[in-house]
Amino acid sequence: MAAMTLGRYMPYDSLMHRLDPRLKLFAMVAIMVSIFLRFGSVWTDLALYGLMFLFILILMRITKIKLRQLYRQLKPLWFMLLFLLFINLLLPNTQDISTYFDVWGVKIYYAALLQTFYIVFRLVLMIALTLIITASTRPLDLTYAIEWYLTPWKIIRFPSHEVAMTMSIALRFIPTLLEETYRIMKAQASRGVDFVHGKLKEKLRAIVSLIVPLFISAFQRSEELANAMEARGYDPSATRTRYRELTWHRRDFVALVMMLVYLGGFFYLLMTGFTLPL
Amino acid sequence: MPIKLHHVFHVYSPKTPFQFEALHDVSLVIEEHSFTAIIGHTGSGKSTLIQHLNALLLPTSGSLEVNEIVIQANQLPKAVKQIRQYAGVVFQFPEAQLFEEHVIEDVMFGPLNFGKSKVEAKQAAQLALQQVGLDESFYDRSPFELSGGERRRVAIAGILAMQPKVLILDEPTAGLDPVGAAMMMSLFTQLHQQGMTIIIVTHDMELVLKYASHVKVMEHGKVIKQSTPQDLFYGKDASKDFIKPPLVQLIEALRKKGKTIPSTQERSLADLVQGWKVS
Repeated sequence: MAAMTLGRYMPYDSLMHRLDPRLKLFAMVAIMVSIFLRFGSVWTDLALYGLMFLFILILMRITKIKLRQLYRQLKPLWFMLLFLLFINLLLPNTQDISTYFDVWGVKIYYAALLQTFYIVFRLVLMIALTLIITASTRPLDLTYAIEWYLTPWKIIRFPSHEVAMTMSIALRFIPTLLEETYRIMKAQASRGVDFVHGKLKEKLRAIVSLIVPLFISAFQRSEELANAMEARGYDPSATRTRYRELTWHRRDFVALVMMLVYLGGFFYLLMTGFTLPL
Repeated sequence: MPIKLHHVFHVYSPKTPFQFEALHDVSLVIEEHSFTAIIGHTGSGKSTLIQHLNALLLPTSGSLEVNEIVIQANQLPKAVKQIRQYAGVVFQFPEAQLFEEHVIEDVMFGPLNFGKSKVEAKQAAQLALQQVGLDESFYDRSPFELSGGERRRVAIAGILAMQPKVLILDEPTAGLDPVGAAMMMSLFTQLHQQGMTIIIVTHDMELVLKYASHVKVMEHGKVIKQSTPQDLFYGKDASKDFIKPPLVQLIEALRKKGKTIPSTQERSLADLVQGWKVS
């Protein structure tokens, strides 16, 4: 159960927690965009990526997330990273095939190695970002923020409230379904199911014994919820007020300016074709 | 063999903001062939405790002994399957664990997992279904078309078919109608008389008084009292911390009115009436 911390809200009190979720969402998108920029030369790329990494480390620090937590998130991805490396080495997606070294007659291109590094690095930073935003923002606040960004689309009759409602229900039920999963896993383990060891056929049966009850309870829950909402007269198109309003503080403004400077800075470097004199 | 717990602690999600100590220094012995009730408020650690008894949860520190197999802190014992077969746990709302197409297959699932052959498993399943009072007409029905009470009986049969020596039940009567609950309890008494050790977690004091031979009272992850129902409700261990069963309240009220009720062993209203007739 301890492994399931990605996407889990961490009830600390930090500056990051107090920031407006709308701002945080914008900042996340801005930083993600910056992660995918490519600059003039390899060394410039590396230096600027280092800078982004440092920035994200500072953000993690502010959110009171320890490096250990990030590491724990990455651990299950080991296999995928290895796979990425493998694919990239065998099928290098690069024009630069001038430098390579031989391993048992297979050409390993430096450019392919670098490519893999970029992918892995971006993945790690994205996961770190997701960790920061989900750990510091209640899921409900996040959906409010998304709803706020969707509001303008109401002009073309986009059901922004309904979409936000659906999202918040989905988010709300993630922990519930997880809990249910653990409960059923335990119940089946009591009946001698081994989810970890055993032959493939046994494992498949083990999974079936988990998934069928899980689906049944999920459908039951959704039906109960729908009935409960209807019983209380829920009308998706009604205008309604909120218990918690999002309020924009001065710190949000300061953070917004910082993010604009951050994004603007990287775009400026991109536009001017900046390269490190190396 | 009795089940023994030595200074068992259990901490959920250690070293995270969600850290929570559910068991604190729990030492107790559950006698073989006893009918032990574990009572306590919601969140007192009852469910955590029973999950230790078949190694679904492992102690954070301390150890326990089940069927002469020692479970050390944070160490899944090699003989975990033996433990799980020895001590069968019926969770709260066990009907949620049904998944097979037919009732009989679902009940056979446990024995098959413990290495029984198809024939043996089928025999065990038939016996278990008979014990819970479901006849052959149920074998080929889908568990999902049964009523709630029937589904629960199928789920309990699924555990009984494993032929455990210890049956652990987490609120087995929750959500059942009074008739269904009474049938359930008479099934457990019957199994108890056949020599099975029964451990039951419940909020229903009436059940405790009527059926249990031993009571463990839990509070904030600690075992605060180990007693018998008679001592707990009538005698030296009586306490104001929990609501007494209606029968005990009735007897106390009668005594206050000046009626003499000599015995303090009454387990049910029938006992009280019987005692009255005799005197």
